[in-house]
Amino acid sequence: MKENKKKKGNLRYVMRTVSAADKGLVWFTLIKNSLEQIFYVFFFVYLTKYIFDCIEKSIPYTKLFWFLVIACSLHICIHFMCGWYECYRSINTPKIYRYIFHQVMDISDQIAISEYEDPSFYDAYTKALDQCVDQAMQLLITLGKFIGNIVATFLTMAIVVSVDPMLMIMVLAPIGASFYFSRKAGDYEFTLQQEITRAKREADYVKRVFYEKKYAGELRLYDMQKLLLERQEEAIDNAYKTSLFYRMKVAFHSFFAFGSYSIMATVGAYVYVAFMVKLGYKTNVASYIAMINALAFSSGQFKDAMVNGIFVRKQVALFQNLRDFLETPRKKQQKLIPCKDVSEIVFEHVTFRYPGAEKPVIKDMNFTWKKGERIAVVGYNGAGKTTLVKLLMGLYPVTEGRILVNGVDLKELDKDEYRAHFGTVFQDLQVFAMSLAENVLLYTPKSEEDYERAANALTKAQFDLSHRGLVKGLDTVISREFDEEGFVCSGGQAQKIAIARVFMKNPDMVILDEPSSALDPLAEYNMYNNMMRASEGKGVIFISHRLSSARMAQHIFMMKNGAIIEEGSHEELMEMQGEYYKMFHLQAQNYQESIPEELFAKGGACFE
Amino acid sequence: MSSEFKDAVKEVRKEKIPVRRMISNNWFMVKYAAKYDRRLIVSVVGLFCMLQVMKAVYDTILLKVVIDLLQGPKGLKPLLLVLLVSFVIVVSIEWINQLLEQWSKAKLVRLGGKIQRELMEKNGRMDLVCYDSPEYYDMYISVASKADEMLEKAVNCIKVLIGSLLALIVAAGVIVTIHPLVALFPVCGFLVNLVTRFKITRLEFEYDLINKKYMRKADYSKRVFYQPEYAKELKLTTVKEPLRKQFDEALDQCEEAAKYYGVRITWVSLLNWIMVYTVLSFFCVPAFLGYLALVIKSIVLGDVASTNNAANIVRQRLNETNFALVDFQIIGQYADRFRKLLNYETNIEGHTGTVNIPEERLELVLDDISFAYPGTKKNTLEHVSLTIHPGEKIAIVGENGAGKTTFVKLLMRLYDVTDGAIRYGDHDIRSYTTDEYRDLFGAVFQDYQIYGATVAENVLMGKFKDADEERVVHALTLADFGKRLATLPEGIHTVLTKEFEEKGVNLSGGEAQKVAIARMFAKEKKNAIAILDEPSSALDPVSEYKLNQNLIKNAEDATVIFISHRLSTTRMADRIYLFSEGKIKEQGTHEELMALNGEYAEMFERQGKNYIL
Repeated sequence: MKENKKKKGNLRYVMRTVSAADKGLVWFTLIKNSLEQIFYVFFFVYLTKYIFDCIEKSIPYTKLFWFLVIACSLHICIHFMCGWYECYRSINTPKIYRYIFHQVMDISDQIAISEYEDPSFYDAYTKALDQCVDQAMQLLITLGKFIGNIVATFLTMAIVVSVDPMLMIMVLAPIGASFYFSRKAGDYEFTLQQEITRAKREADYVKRVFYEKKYAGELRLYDMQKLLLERQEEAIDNAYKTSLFYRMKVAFHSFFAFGSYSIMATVGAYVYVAFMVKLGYKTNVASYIAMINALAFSSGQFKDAMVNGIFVRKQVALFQNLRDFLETPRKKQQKLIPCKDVSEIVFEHVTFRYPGAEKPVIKDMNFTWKKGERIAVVGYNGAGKTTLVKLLMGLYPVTEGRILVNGVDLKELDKDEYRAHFGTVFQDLQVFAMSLAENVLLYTPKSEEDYERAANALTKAQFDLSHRGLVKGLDTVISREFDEEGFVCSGGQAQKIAIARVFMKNPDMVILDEPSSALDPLAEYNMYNNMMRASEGKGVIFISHRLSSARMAQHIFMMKNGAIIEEGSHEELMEMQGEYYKMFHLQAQNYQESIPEELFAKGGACFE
Repeated sequence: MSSEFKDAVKEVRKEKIPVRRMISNNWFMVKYAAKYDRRLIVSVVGLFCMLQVMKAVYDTILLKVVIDLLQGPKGLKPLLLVLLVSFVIVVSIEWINQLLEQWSKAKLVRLGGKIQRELMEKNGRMDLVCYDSPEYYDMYISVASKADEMLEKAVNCIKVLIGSLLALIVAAGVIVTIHPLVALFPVCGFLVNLVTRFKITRLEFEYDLINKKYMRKADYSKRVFYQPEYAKELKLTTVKEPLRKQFDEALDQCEEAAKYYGVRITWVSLLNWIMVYTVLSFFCVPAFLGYLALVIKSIVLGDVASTNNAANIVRQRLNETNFALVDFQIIGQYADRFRKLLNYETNIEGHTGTVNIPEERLELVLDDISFAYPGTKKNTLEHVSLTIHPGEKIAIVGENGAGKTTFVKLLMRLYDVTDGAIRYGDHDIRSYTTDEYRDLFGAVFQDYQIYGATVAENVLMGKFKDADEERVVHALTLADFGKRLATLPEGIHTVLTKEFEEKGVNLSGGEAQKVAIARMFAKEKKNAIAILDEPSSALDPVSEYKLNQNLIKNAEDATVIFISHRLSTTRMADRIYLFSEGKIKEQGTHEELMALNGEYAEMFERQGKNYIL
């Protein structure tokens, strides 16, 4: 019951949303689609009856002729309405798009990053948002048809009853049986879809492997093809057998669901008429013949009403997700403390656990980062380095402890202002399908000067601006997402663009998460050199596997299992001869002229 | 009209193909599907046509018989007999209808799978270049991936078109027997419909293409706002502004297209609706019938009713034809490319050579080779010559985009050189059988992949036999995967990825790379040449160290070719080649190159500087 209420709310919601974007569209859609159905009654039922009656009763031809002229003029009016509607709809649909997604864009600010990263976010919202406009229009059109179907069914029945109420039995009798059987058929269809999802997904997977570029090289070198094709055959075979089994059941039930109508409404009705006429009870054959046509028409309308009704119900349920997304009240921070400048960040016993996870990723971490200080964070894969960066940026609330910015808890700061002081390059950085200049500036260039700044930043980041793929220079669109002349970035080039953003922004604090993993050695060296020069007097944190770059920092944190296990300058850490020392030597040995064998055995010797 | 929009329209119009070719294309698709399961296609089309004819006959002729009997002097008995016949006909029509629909749906699952399988096999034998240039990819790969659904569409389309045509003939036949002149209206209607409908579908097709193009831009821009992977950048930067602008612009363009095409489509549609449906059907037919019945009195009610029904059938079938014509157009365009795909001839894959691969290991000689990707003017590799001796350890270094990966792909004959020749021993590698030649190699690519299969199958890259167990475990241990293997629930039989099993295991980047590396160690026939394209990029320093040690130890007498950014790795090599802009710029041993004091020395020193204590 409650769920039903919710659904009705959704329907109102869709109508409200669409009409907020364009007032006329909702009503126009409903009226056009329902009127169309209702006029069919006039043409297929009333007009037919009229013509047949005219012929049987030998009414003067001119009367029939003029009646036809009027009816057809009306028909032409309807055509004009339909034409106008189709035009109106295609021109105004973009408006709805704009309305809904501007809302989404405004809201995206308030969504916490943890909400995005929740796997159910994708299932619930991404799909709902991808298709919501098409679905909304589909819903309105179908709803209009549904209303039209219902009205048309009743109108037809009224006409039928006016001729002979007994004829109605022919339509009403099979309703129960038809309902039962079509429900059964629907159930089987549903079970079938459920049972073959898996097989379909498997077949799709194999298809993907064969058609996606990333698999192409390996498929040609190894003998994986046979195995995958066998898997596909198994999956398809499964799907086929299951399909055949259920489809036969569906066929059987559909036969009774649809057949009972056509048999009763046509053959049954004829038998009734035959008795009535031949036994001398009735004489107006023409009306009866017209009504038998009408019965077929009304059962058709009724069938459509059922199908459309089910569709509307299903479709309405889909909008719950969209509604949740747009209407969920999200916490807006209340009293925000403005953040004019960032000069010191302190971690006080910070512990962090991802929502739903058992183990904390960051455990009781304490450190101070001052403006002008360069910190390197090193450690093994999975030590919690990237999470540390996300906490610093205030993307997650800490589980325990606090982060103080100039002595104020980060929780209470205006995050937008705070983040404006940072330039960050993430490990999983993204480039956007926009022009190269926009990708660096992150706003639309307004003057020649803006282009110059972008070019300058890109050069500092070692991006090769003379690359032949850049057909329109800084205006070249990145990615082929929707521009065939777009420039497809390699991993290294994407990284350079992200680094250029930092050069461009020239922030107080810089955070680099493995910024050079895809760069070649020369580019890496030059980029670091430029970065160090540009960030003179700023705060810098960088994360790197390459311990050689860690040396550029004044302070190094060695992380393991979510905690800082060693810290200090390079020299201090080397002296400690702990994990850092070991890691450094593993990497360094190939750059040394000779490597004392006993180094690893003893773990003690030092080059000096 | 903006100039950009004009260009878009011009571009779309270029894709038009003549009607005759469209017909032959559609027919070709159906014939192609019939090759796989002739019985199915013939029975689907045949039974559907039969149903259409039965329905048409039932709706017209039987109706006339019944009315004539009702109005005639005969008694109840013959009437009931006719009704019994019509009962049988209705029941069989419904039965055949449902059975055919459901049965063919099930059968098409299998047929589609079979066709897809065969095209995948063909695809697997297509030269790798097809994936590399976007034009080739659009031309071949994406065409193949849509083939099963398109073939199904083609069968349905032809089925509806032929079925409707037959029903139209029956309806017209009925009308002709009553009065030949009445048939003029549906025939005219059919012709007017054909012409206008074709124009409409053409316009709609154009509109659809243009609209899709703009919507892709709008869709992309808005998706960034709710796709998890972009969330961080969205929060930390000002990228929202240009994205929003891009979104708005794309929608403006959509509106422009809608205005241009919406109006045009509407005018032709109005012509179609008014002529075909209103004038020629709702007006002319009853007006003329009424005239015949009331003024001339040459026909009776039964004739009028059956003609009326016939006219209805004509209208319905025309409606269905109109829907089918949209698909007809789509398939007509698609089949053009599909035929090209079928005619594609591979140069490399599946090539049978004239020379057998000799047992002993031979030199690999590159004689002044050049290579350009199709569709590009500039050579990726230019005049490269070098000789790789058996057992040599080679390192390839150089900047991003210097042509290193292309170089190793040429060695494995994933591409053929544009100029020059690669020789293995005394023969050009093109004179060997491709598969046998490639069997010499073991390779780990930069973009290695993990497949939805067990760990063992992922290592063997093929079916697992019990005898392989030891080999697989050994290979995984050498690739430093031993520890992780111990934690897997079913050891080497654990299914990877969630594609086939809900409980499947997803590996991290480093772990996946180790499995990919294990493939090399697990090859049954010892590799003559091992190729490693940045094998350690996702590994932390400790794993990288172990891996390098194991590689060198196990390579024994095999040739090893490394590509690496990390110059530390290259020191293990006997010979180093430094690539720059598609050419070999420096070559020699580490010591020689350091002594040369060129680019290599500069790179090495810069990278190593901070490791010196």
